[in-house]
Amino acid sequence: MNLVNGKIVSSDACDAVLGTLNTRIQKTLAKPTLDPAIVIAACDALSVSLDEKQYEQTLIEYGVSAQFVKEYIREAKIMLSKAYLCSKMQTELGAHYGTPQQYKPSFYDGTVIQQIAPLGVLFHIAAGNADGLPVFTVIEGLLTGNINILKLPREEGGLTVQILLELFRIQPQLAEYVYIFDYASNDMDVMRQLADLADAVVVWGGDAAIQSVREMAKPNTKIIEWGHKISFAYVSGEDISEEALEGIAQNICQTNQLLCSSCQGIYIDTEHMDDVDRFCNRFLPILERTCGLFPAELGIGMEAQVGLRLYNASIETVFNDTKLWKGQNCSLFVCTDMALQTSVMFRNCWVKRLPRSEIIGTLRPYKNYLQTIGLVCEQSEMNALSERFWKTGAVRITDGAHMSKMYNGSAHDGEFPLRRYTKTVALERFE
Amino acid sequence: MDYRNQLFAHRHLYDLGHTNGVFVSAMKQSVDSHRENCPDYDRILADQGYQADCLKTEQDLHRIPPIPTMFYKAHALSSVPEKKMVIKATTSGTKGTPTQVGLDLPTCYYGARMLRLIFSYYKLFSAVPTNYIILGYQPSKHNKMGAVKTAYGATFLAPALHREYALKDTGSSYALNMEGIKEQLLRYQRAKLPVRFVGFPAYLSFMIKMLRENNIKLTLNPGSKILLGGGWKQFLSEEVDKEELYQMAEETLGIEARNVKEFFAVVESNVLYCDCKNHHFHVPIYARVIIRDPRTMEPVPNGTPGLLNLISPLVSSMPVGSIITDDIAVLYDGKQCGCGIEAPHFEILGRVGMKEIKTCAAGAGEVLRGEQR
Repeated sequence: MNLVNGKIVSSDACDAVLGTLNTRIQKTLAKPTLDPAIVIAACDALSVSLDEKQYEQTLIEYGVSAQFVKEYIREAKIMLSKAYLCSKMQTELGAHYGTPQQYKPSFYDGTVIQQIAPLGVLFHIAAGNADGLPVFTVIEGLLTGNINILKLPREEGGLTVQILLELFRIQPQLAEYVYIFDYASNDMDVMRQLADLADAVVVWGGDAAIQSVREMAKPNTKIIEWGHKISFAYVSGEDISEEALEGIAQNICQTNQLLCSSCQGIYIDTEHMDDVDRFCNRFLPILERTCGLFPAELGIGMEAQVGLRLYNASIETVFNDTKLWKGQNCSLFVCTDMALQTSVMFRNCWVKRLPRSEIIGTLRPYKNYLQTIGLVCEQSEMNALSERFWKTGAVRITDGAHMSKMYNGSAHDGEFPLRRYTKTVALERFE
Repeated sequence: MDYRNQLFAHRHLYDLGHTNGVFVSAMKQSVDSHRENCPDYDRILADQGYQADCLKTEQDLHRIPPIPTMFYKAHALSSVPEKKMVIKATTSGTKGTPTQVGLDLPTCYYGARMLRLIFSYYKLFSAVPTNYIILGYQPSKHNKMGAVKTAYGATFLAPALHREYALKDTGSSYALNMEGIKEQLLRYQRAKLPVRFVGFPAYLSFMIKMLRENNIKLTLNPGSKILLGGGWKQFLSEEVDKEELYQMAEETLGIEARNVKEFFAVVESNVLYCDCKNHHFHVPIYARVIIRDPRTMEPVPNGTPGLLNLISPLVSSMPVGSIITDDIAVLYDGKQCGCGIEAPHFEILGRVGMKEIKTCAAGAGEVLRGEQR
């Protein structure tokens, strides 16, 4: 679906729009910078007016799985609220983000007025892996006063357009700041044309997507990458509470290990496989119990893939020192190596040893792919272990239960999006 | 007694009832021989608790531990020395690493007997000189894909006057050759001889669309045929609907649906399945098909979707007698088809996995595999 100036346009009409896009953008750029207060007020109104019942139905129609729908809407309402957005702006851009700061720098003969300004035009290439993500990336672009060109992922069913149309109904002024196109990402001519119009390309997705943007963008186009990440849990010490392990199990069951922040596997701070086995012996019943609390709805395709991969793993155990602990609707796959890997997903996680002395050496090769670590250890060890994990490239350490939860002001993959979508400009005066 | 020989000498392609006994004996012989000659296979079977006396009747076939085709990607298993492999091929590797497959002379011999019976059953042999359009790759030194060889092999069913390829060899890679195909098709039409199209359904669809865009409508010789094989879902975004495609083929090429033959094969197992006049894949005497519940791996009743387990004693060079593919399929009672063949038939519903990857973790998985290489 294509959206131009708040109106849905056909693919044919889009080609014509493309020809005049530069002129249109320049016209908008010539206007005063978009006031974040207007965007925040519109989002807040959207959050209040969001009809939960209607959106529940819409989300399900658009293919979001029913078990997540209520939670999604609740989160979306919070994230669009004035309180949340104001505090996000302050955390990410600083308390004075809206007001130019005038001062006389030391060792300099002039007066400067510094302020945060939009980059100008952002070309967002959204990924299809997170429902609703394209809307939020555009809203972040609007909050920072940018014009946003959005390339929708192929699988997007129209949810983004629907929500944005609602936003423009509330605040028509925003319409000219958003263009949505559904050109295929392999239509390189169009992609290049759109990238050339933008100050920065914001790319979400896997390595292939990022690689192709790196090759496509000219040196004077900034690239803002939000790549795929991987997360895991780390368990250290003897005295591990039941609750801490339940937290890991909850993350595994609630996210089905599908998110960048989902626990793919568990490392145990030990050199001995006996300890790993002892852990599995204790953790498997906890995972089984938690599975019962959060029944999974797998389609036949996914069930078949998981079943096949587990069966294959069970055959593999003959050839390597792996062991498969099968539980009811879940499993633990024990390996003797320490390599980071993704799980079979859907409540099937690996368990490996990783003595703390080998954390940095083992995980460094995965730099920039690491995200969250669900750390379970004694309070007194927290700092020492965190220190090691930061050096591997991980960006967030929390307990198991909170691995995929977000807090207001949390950085995304270690960075503040709003800061990446803005620049600091200075106006200098000499008297 | 060589039961494989006996099975492959049988004259009736779908006479499962009269071949059950010899099929089970041939499987038993095959499994025992692979265990003896392939220690890794022996270890798998021992680990899965399979014993020689497990296999007595047709009802026991499910007890032979099936090996997932994905397993062969990581482990090359063989039961004969490499010098005895007279044909080597690789899988397409659409989803990652391709598998190496090697066939020994006896396998080729029995395979040829199987093909002869299938092709004569479906009257695909012809002595009339024929022009070919290969909807796939031109054979070349730098491509060892099984599909290439099969497509090329199919051009010997009727004497070939000329072959035109959708993907032409440029020496180092391939170039799409739709212009060439268009030209040749017009020439083939003038020549009035039968034309055979061989290859992937997705390419056929692509070709027909190209012809339609150019307003080309052909009336080919009524003896012309379309022989299809390989995935229907090569391009996820362009899923091809079977009936729609057959309809388009009739309109654009003048080839009726009854002259469209579809084949199904898995390079690991090598048995060829050909669709009947109702376009269903019935199970021939050379194989038995079991659908398994992905949770338990136990067989499910006919009509229930699950993982596709193909069983056959054809191959003696690799222990691929019972394999599980990446396909989700459903098996039906033969009589339900109505074509007259009573052997059960199966339908491929799709590949395992999610239609679209909706997970960043899986995306990261590709990354990590790259990292480990």
